[in-house]
Amino acid sequence: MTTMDSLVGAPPAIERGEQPLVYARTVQRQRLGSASSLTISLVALGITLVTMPDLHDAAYHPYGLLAAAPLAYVIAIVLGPLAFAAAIAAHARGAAWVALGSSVLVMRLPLALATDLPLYSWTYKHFGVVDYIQTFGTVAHGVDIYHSWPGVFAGVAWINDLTGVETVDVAHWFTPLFQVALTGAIYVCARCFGLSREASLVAAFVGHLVNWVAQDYFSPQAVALLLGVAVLALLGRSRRSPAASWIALAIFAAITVSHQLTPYWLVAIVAAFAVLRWVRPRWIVVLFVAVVVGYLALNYDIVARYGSLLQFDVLSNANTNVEGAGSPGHALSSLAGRATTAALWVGTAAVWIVSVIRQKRTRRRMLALGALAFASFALLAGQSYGGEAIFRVMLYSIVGCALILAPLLTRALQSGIGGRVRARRRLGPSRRFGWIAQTAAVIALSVTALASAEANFGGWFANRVSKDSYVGATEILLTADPHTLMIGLAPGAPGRTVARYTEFATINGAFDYGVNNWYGWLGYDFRSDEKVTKMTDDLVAADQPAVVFITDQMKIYSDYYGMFPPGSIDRYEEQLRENPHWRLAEETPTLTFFELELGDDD
Amino acid sequence: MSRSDPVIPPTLGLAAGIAGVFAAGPLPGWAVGMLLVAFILLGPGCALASWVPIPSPAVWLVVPAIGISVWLLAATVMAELAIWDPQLGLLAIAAPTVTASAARLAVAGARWMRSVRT
Repeated sequence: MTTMDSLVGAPPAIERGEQPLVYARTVQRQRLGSASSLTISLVALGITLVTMPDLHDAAYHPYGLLAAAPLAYVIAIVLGPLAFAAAIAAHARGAAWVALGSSVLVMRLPLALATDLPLYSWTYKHFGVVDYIQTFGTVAHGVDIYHSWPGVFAGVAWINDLTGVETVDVAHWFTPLFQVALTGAIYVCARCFGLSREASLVAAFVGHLVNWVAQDYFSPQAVALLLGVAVLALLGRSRRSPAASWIALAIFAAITVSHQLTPYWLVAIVAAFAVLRWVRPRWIVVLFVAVVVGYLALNYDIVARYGSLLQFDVLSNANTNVEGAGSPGHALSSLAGRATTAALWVGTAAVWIVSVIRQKRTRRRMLALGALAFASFALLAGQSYGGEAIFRVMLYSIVGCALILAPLLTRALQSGIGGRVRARRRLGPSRRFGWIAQTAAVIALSVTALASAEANFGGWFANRVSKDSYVGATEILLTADPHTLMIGLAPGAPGRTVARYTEFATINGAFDYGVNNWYGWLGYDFRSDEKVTKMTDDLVAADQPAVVFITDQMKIYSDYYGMFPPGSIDRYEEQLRENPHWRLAEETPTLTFFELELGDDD
Repeated sequence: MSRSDPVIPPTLGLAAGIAGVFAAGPLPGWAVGMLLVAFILLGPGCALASWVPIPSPAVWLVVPAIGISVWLLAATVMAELAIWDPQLGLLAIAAPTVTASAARLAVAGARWMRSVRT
């Protein structure tokens, strides 16, 4: 078998005993499709690598990275679906794998190569837990919720201890590696639920494409999701292999000690599978529930601090935790995300309903896939999860939706140009319809890629952490009095990066909350120094040590989410400079750091 | 890797288990990293697949998932019980991995010898 043959895959026509002429034409089309796909994939990857320095140095743009990036990079994103569609149309599975890998790298590599540090300031609060375990060899129960679900943190701490790798380096490369692993996992899961190899590839591609929700940073939920897909894959085969359920239970235990929410999504699916008789033995659902409830009972004290376990207010639970009035840039990326999600859910629901009604033979499988796709909505009935529940519903629904949509998309992609000759002939009078279906599928994938990229990259500059702020915030944690309040104006500075954060958090769990959480501060324009004066007087009167740090990222974050009117943070900074109680402790191009001087009034 | 294959899973499990044992030794960080990745992604999963049939389409996902799960559970136990010892902990997982894989190979070898004799 030549290299091209291996990329093209087994010739389907000859396997079906077709005529030599038809077979020759089929192979010719497959080779053409495969070569086209490979060329497009490599061009897209090449463009991405060439434009990476421009992405790295891109100047702030309110509409995010895509608006600031060279046009060539945007084209590279669209080339991904084109390459993939060409490969699937030609039944060239090898080329489809290349196109899938290329698209993943095009859309995720910038997070590692076009940044100096991991994206999102909230990524860094995981570092402190890892550092604590490395430093003290145990967890600090009660400090925060992470120490009660330490699986991933302890696992990373262990790797760091053995290899000498820093958590920041693990986190920096986490997202691209995660996305590669997730697409592979979705492929295997699709195979376990009986999809063909090509449909499974399409499922993996859809899963990759619609994953705009940016839950793929260094975090327990990302690892838990990956393991969760393995659990689903095993459950998909448990009717034929009962041992699969027991192995799934062991993996589920690792998920349970790592993340608070993922196990409940999986329990909802296992329960649905038990009702549908899709899992064997059916009573294993009792063990899944016992594991998760037992672990929750062990840590109930920490969970109880966050209020009632169940909040039966679906509409309230569906609200996001995004604060602020927004901005045109945020509105665009939000629209892109919502449109992608709506298209995914509505499309999936439509296909699922039609399939359940019309396809009696595969009805039970479709019902099981429906549980995969929609079980996450049950989370909304119980918890808002700090305003993140709706994002998790989206994240968890991706696998099931991809599996439901994939067979139809595969047929559409293979029904027109480049498709199998026999398939096209079979269409007969509706051959033109096949061409339209294929074109529509390619357009849908391309538009989804762009929308997903905009939703993912829209907040690029608001979430890009500078080295100055990382070093500065870490330095404060390492040297300041643990009674110190660390006052930010808005999210946009890495916090809790080292083990010593636990000393601060033990004294005051909200020691590093931004003033946007204070009553009456969010949206304030700082045209008067009334609030800064009052804050300072109160801190001095209480003899409360405090530092204020202001980063460029904070200003961009505030503008992007519309937390404060434009120029507010500059005015806030100016008022601190002029207030005699505040000493300018450090100033770099991206960080300004003030320290409250308490001694003056003593 | 097939579910009925008595050789490949235990062989991979044995090799990965030995990699895990070496990773606990005094090696450069990059070498430990490579050995560790091989051990976690293949070792415990292949050791289990040596004895328990894993459905074939799932095996490529489940083998690394088992390794990661064992890693996370063992790390959690060490951290929760404050018995943090990275090297010893690694050996505590690598040893049963090697043992289980080697035992499966021994059983397969014995069966093969019997079949040759008969």
